[in-house]
Order: sequence, then structure tokens, then C-alpha cells
Amino acid sequence: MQGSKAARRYAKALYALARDREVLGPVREDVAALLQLCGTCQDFNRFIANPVIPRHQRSSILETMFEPSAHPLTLRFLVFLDSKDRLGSLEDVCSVFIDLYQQEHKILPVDIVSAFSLNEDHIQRICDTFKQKFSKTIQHTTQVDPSLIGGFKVRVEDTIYDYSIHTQLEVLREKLLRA
Amino acid sequence: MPIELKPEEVSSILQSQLADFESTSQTYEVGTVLSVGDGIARVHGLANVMAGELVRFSEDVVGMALNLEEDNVGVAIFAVESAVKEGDEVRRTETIASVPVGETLCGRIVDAMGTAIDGNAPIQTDENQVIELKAPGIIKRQDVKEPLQTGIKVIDALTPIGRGQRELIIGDRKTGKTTLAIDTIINQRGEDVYCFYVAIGQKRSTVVQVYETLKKFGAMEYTTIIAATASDPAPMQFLAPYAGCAMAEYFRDSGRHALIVFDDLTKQAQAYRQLSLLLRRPPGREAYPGDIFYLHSRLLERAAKMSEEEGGGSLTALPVIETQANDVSAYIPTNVISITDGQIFLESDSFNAGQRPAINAGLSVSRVGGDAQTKAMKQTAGSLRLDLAQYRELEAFSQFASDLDVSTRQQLERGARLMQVIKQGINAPQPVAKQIAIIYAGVNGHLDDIPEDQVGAFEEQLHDALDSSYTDFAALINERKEIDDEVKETLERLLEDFKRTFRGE
Repeated sequence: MQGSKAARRYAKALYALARDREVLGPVREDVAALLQLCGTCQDFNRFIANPVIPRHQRSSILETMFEPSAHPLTLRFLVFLDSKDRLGSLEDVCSVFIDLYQQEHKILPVDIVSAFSLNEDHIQRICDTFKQKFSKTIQHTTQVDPSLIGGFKVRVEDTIYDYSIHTQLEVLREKLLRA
Repeated sequence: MPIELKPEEVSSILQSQLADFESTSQTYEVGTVLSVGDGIARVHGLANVMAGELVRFSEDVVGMALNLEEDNVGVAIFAVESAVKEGDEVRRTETIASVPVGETLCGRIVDAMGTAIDGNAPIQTDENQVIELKAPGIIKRQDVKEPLQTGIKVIDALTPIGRGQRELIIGDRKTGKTTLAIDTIINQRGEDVYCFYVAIGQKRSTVVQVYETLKKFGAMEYTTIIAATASDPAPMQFLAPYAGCAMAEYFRDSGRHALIVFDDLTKQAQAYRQLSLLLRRPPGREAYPGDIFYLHSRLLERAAKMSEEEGGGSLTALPVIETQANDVSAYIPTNVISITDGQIFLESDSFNAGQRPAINAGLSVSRVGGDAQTKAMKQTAGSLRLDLAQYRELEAFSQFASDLDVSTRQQLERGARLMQVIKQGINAPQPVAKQIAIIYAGVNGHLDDIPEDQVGAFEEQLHDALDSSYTDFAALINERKEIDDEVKETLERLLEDFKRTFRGE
């Protein structure tokens, strides 16, 4: 699990609390949204990284931003993070939280990259194979990459299962060169 | 690359390859580059990578996983680092760094990964060997007992090297260290020793010069040059000696003899220091990492004389260390001195005064000594050491030559002539018989009536005479291997004869 030690501790705390209060679902959605926000919005990143803004102003801005949409626990967590001057680790905290959630619920994120866009049936079959292999629920994302020529690649954590034509041709090339 | 294949052959090869080809999926483990800088890439992922494993960044760019940390892997890149960008995919190769080994390496110039860099065909061998290998255990070894003839009189007489020994060549820059090593390699012509020259951190022009010299004297037939020059990345310079050792061990473990020269280990230590500092390993004395001693000790321990059960082969190592201002008590020199079985200490003062090889016979030592000498040489050289030591003591008084008593003056004269005897030219290694002839002449007073400045000419002509008129002497001494009565008589007669002709000129 990546993320700094501090991020892990905060994430674990939030996760445990959310689980006890049985609000894991909504909190998880909020966290996922926050993670995406950190990944896309430069202004937000600059805001949370800025040491010049005084704390009370930061927390009031956060409240204004998130009160209407976020779960109260998430909002309280944000203010809490701010009070500990740990807003800079927000992205790490969120990704560790997602990891914890996926681990506990036996969810395996899987990236499928294919040469052509696959229909639902194909995707389902791929997911079923991996579900059987790992006995976890598959959460897939798909992507199209024409350079594969044909077939597809599946990335599970750090391992890639490569069924693409491009790689097959590479292997054949190696074999012929070495002959 | 010239290919001689007929069209039908090509088709049939392709056909068989394709028939065997099974379309299977490829499974490999990957990571993502977090940051790249100074030849080090930090990679996220690669959860199961092994320490020292090779990882591939792209088609041609390879790296070695050195630092396995909690949340990232530190990878040393074996290429110009502009080849790697942040976010690149890194793939495990599941192989620990290894090099090709075998007889086909003779005569080639390769880099630290075993890739040919002399412009000829790629290296083809049957075997690959892991670069980092444990040295042979105690039971697998035996005492060093055969000589490795360097062809350099002063070394073979005073600090003889045996097969399986580690002898350090240490001195300032431009004192003749590389020349000693090259002459030793040249002298292995006709012997059964395979030679390896590892150039670490040197100029490419210097490596070319070495290559040309070896080629000129026919030494490239049995020599391999492993070059990790100054512009090669630090990981290559750090690995080159180990790669060379792996290649040389192939011969050692198959009952044959090999010689490896590391020129020089100071640069390897510096490359390793660079790598360790960039990997953020804690610096120690002189900013070297804590395991700098282990770096050299595990390398040099691989030079050994194997027991008869293991084939009786040997690997002799000649590491070279460059000192600054003759300081042998600096960190790296003291480390390596304590590892090796002796050192040959070269001094710049002697070198500049014309005494070449500029060996300090007093400080140079070989801890294997007599066992590595033929009996004949042992008998001859015994008095050489003593005479030279006495000469060194009296040298300061040589200015008052006229005021001294007869015996002191005689000692000085004898010593001065012996100093001339141990001089030797570049790329001119001498066989044992010739060495014994001239040293015998020196220690037994045959040169006392020859003017000091003519000793060189005497030696040259004596050797010519041995080749032309007195050819039976070399055969005799090579057969007897010791100076028994017959040999002694032959030699005395020979010298008397020759002196008459010499004085006649």
C-alpha cells in the first residue's frame, strides 16, 4: 500500500469510523469524488497546498464548498484534517481509503485495454475469468489502444496479462531473430 | 553481418519456427516510473522484483533494481537517462544480471553486460553466468603452488606471483601500473592462461591503445577486454569487474587457468560511491558507502586456486589501485591491501629517475612467495633481495664513494649494477631462462667489472647470445628447473665465454 505513514493512519481512522457508523457507502463515494477532484482540478490542489491561507479561512472555504453535497462525516473529516495541518496529504489519504475499501470488500480493480472497443458480452467474459482466478469482485475500466493491433491486455495491480497481437508478433520476432 | 543461407534454407527455418510457435498469452509484472534523475529511476509497483534483477524500460533500455524500499524501487539505468520518462512502464525480466561466458569471448571487446562493442558479430555462447556469484568455499581450494610468470625480472625474482593469487599493483598515476599488467598478459603467450583485462572508468583512447598493443604482440588471441569507460553510466562501471570475473570463472571452474586485471578498482569504488549516494544510502568515511570493503572483498575472493577434485584450475587477479601522492594509508588503498595477497608498489620518484619498472622492492611483497617460484629462480633470487636491501641502506652514502672502506664500496657497486639489472623496457617480458641468466650474473659478481652504464647493453647482448649461440642453456634449465651442478657449470662457462666477447667490443 502506498502513501505516507501519516496518510495511512488518517485513512484507517476515517474508514474505521465510517464502518462503525455504517455510512461506508456514502463516505466512499465522497472520497472517490475528492480523489478525482485532486487529480483534475489544479486550483483545488493549489488551495490545499497553500500554507499562507489562515486555518479558519480554509475551513470555512471547505465548508462552503462541500456542505451541500458531502456526507457530514466526510465534511467533519476534512475540517479535522485541516485542523491538523494535513490537508496536503488529502490525495494520499483518499487513495489509501479506496485501497482499504477494496481490500475489505474483495474488490479487484482491473484495467482492460483492447485494440477495438469490446461489447458488454466480451467484457463480462473477461471479468468472469478473472473473478474465478482471484475470487474477488471485478471492478473494470476499459480503454481502447489501436497499437495493440488485435486482442487485449488486462492489468491487475502490478501484473499484466497480455493477449494482444502486438506482443505475440514481438515474441515471434524474438524467436526468429534468435534462430 | 555476412549471412550465407540459401533461400530454401530460410523458408524451412521459418517454417519450423512457425510450426513450433504456440500462441500463448504473455504475463509479466510491471511498475511505473515515479521519477528519474541522475541515472536512477524510482519505480512504483514491481512488487515481486528481486534485488539485483534486471528490469526493462523499453526496447533497448535496461536497468538493475538495487534499492527495494517500502513504497518504491530504486533502479539504476544502464543507459543515457533521457531514454526514460516519468510515467513509463517498467517490466520485470525475471533474470538476475548475467553475462555470456565461454571460449568465444577470446579476442573480443565487450561491455559490462557482455555485449560486443568491437564492431564484430554479436557474442554467441552456450552458457550465461550470473555476475554476482559467491566465491568458492574453503574445501574447494588448495594452496597456490604454480608460478604465473609475468616476464618482468623484478617481479618474478622478488615478489613472485602464483596462479590463484591476488597481487595488488599500487602507485600514483603514470608510474607504469597498466604497463606491468599488459606485459604480464603478453608474457602468457604460449602458456595455457586465458587473460581478461577489465578497463574501468578509463578513456576510450587508452583502451584502444591497450587493444592495439595486445594485438601487436599476438596477445588478443587469448585475451578478452571488458570495457566500462569513463562515459559509461556508473552502474556499468560498478558491474564491469564482476562481469569480468564471471567470464574468467568459466575457465577456472573447468580446470584451466585464467588471469584477470582490474584497471582500476579506485574508479570502481568511485562509481559505486556515486550510485550509493544517488540511491540515498548513508555515506560513511570519505562519502563511501558502508559496504565499500565488501565491494572489493567479494570480488577478489573469487580469484582462487581450485583443489584437484574441482579440476585444479585457477584464477589470478591483478587489481590496480591509483594512489594520490603515494599515500598508501588512504581509505581505499588500505582496504584493498588488506584483501590481497601482496602488493607491488610503484613510486613516481624512481620512475622519474629512470628506474623502470619503478618498483619499490622494500615495500613490495608477495605473501605467496617461494611456493610460486621455480626452484632455479628461488636459488638465484635469494641473494638478489639481500643485496638490494643492503644497497638501499647504503645508498645515501654513495656520494662519499671515495671515502668508504673497500667492502662498503663493493656493496655499493654491486647494488648499483643490480639496480641496472632489474630495469626492463616496455612490452619486453623475458622468459625464465633469460631472467635467471642475467640475475645469476649479477648476484655472483660477473658484472662487477662491467661499467654500470653498460649493464643494459650487456644484458641485451647476453640474451641475444642465448638465443643464437648458447641455445642449449634454455632447454637445460627448463628441463631441470633448478640450479644443480650441471646447470651451474654450464652457466658459469657460458658467462665466461660471453664476457670475453663482450669486452672485446
